[in-house]
Amino acid sequence: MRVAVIGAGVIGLSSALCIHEQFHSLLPSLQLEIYADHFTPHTTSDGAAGLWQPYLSDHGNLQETLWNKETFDYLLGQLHSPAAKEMGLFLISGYNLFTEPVPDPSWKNIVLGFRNLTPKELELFPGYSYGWFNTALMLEGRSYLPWLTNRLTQRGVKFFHKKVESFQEVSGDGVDVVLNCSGMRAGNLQPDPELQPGRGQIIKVLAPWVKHFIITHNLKSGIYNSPYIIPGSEFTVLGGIYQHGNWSEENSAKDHKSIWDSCCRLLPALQKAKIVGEWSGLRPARPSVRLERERIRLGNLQGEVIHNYGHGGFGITIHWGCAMAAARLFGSVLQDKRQLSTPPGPRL
Amino acid sequence: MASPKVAVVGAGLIGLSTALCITETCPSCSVTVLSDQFSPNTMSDVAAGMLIPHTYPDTPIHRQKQWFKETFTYLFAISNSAEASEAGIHLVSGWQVFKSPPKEELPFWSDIVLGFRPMSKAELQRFPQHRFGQAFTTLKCDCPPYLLWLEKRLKATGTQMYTRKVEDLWELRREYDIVVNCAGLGAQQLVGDKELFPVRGQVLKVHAPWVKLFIRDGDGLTYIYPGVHRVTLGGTREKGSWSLSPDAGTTRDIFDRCCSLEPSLQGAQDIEVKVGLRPSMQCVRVQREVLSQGGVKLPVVHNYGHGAGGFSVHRGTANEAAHLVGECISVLQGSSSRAKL
Repeated sequence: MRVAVIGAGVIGLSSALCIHEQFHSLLPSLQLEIYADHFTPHTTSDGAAGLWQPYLSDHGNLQETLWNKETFDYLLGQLHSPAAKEMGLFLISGYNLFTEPVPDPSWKNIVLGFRNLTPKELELFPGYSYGWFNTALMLEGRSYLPWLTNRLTQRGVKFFHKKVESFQEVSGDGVDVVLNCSGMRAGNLQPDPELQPGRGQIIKVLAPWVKHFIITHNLKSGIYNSPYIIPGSEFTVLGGIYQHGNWSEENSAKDHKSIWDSCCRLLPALQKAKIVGEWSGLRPARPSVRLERERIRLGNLQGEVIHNYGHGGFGITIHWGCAMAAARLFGSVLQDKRQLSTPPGPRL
Repeated sequence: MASPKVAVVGAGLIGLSTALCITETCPSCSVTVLSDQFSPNTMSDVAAGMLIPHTYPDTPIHRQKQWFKETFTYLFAISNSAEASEAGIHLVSGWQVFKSPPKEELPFWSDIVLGFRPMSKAELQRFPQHRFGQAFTTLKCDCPPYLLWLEKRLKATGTQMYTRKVEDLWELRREYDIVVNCAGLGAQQLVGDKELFPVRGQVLKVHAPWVKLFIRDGDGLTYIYPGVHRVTLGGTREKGSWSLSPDAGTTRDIFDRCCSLEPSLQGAQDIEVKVGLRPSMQCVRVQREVLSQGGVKLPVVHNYGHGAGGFSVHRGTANEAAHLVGECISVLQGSSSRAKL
């Protein structure tokens, strides 16, 4: 049984790994192939800072909150393993800042030590009158994607550098399940007006004295359109751009100035920080994640596509919960095809 | 006395910060720093520079608290300014974990650091051998940067600094009106203080830039303190040991203890081993004294014996010492005007 995975960002690689881990012993014929036009370090996931943090509101989407929690708990469990450093996984504390009181987020009990900021802490951030402190996780794409790639390669998964234009292209010849993890470009494979780019731009600087993430929020201008500072293991990411509907992946001088000025106002010491890079990427934004099966005509045969895309600016945050859900969908596909007498037990 | 000449002996954390306070409280003073060592070769350079107070048994708690509060407030302002990176001052959050219940649930400094609270159950799960914990955010002063920044501020005020080993405070009588003794462990020889003793500390400074949180065992022996470029792993408290040579067995032991708190440290690179001797006493000596020899007087202000807690109280004790220098000047001006009558 051949399974084609389209996309080699965090979603494609983790879904592939999850499926292989759960099914390869039950299905000796299982062969996974990953097709992508971009591999690490050139995927959208590589550009992200890698902070685990969902959006402020889950809009009643409890399913996504559960996937976020599954991801956090899974990563927390990996923290003390020898693989943690190679995965790019580590603990980090920090601040979320607001100009007015806001309700607690859906993830307050998922992260560690969530609390409101004290008046003295707020003195650090003039202009902000309310905020949260908590300890969360960083999972840096630059390390995590190569780690996933190594695990997959060890398992005999094959990689193909190819821009896929249709599901039919990768199916046929024994491939009857396609895992669609194509992120921003899912619309090329099947039109989806709900999928829109949420363009972001970031500046990478050397500021090793910054040990906390600082994320400001402007409820009027919307998520990520307010400065944020996220310290990584090699450099610190400055950001604060979210442009819905903008497909440009070129760095904009205007956005650069906006990020730089607003971050330096937030943390004056950044004025002395050395700029070492800049990057723009497109968050694959959707009102909700598309994670579902679809029967599709693949040539003469009926095939199955498992969609797993539209993770916006929280792909890393939600990836493992979605990978496991995709694996469950795969299990149900196998059941339907009577490849399995019973699906494998639930695994977290 | 138009321009009192003040000599500060010692160019570690205490000497430099005291000299700076003196220039601030007494702008008419001419201050000179004399030391056999300057950064990066002072004892202070070895320390991690974490603002977590050490409790001095014989100093009243309210005084220690005042010193800590002044120090924290001073450094907090720098950490929030454009100078933070140059001064090496930064905020760091983390955990202090205990195997057995801590002596006090709320240490005297808990309302001065930021966000102090008990650790949650979920946080304590990361430390299976520990049953209690405190979470808070405090400040760290990286050395050499902080000491070099203090030197730069001093030079800007016109303070002179000379490499010179002072064997006896009296040798300074001719050139200086007041002597400030910030000689740390050197005070044992310089002023014959038998109460002063070294507490040897060995540390490892490693490259592990993914470590963003501090972790400290409440017993004070094992700690992980992330600095700007290096993480300090510690440590030891060897009372009475004068040895400045690193011990290989101790290195192994420190590394193992720290890895059991933070396993990812196994991947740490570039391990540098350092040794410092904490200039320890039952209380910090911040005190004015007038030495007398053959009818000649020498006003001295002492500021030494900060042991394991120098960084946490340095600015507070420096302020107090500067105030005492001010008192010495008043006395001298009083007697010189009496002499004129």
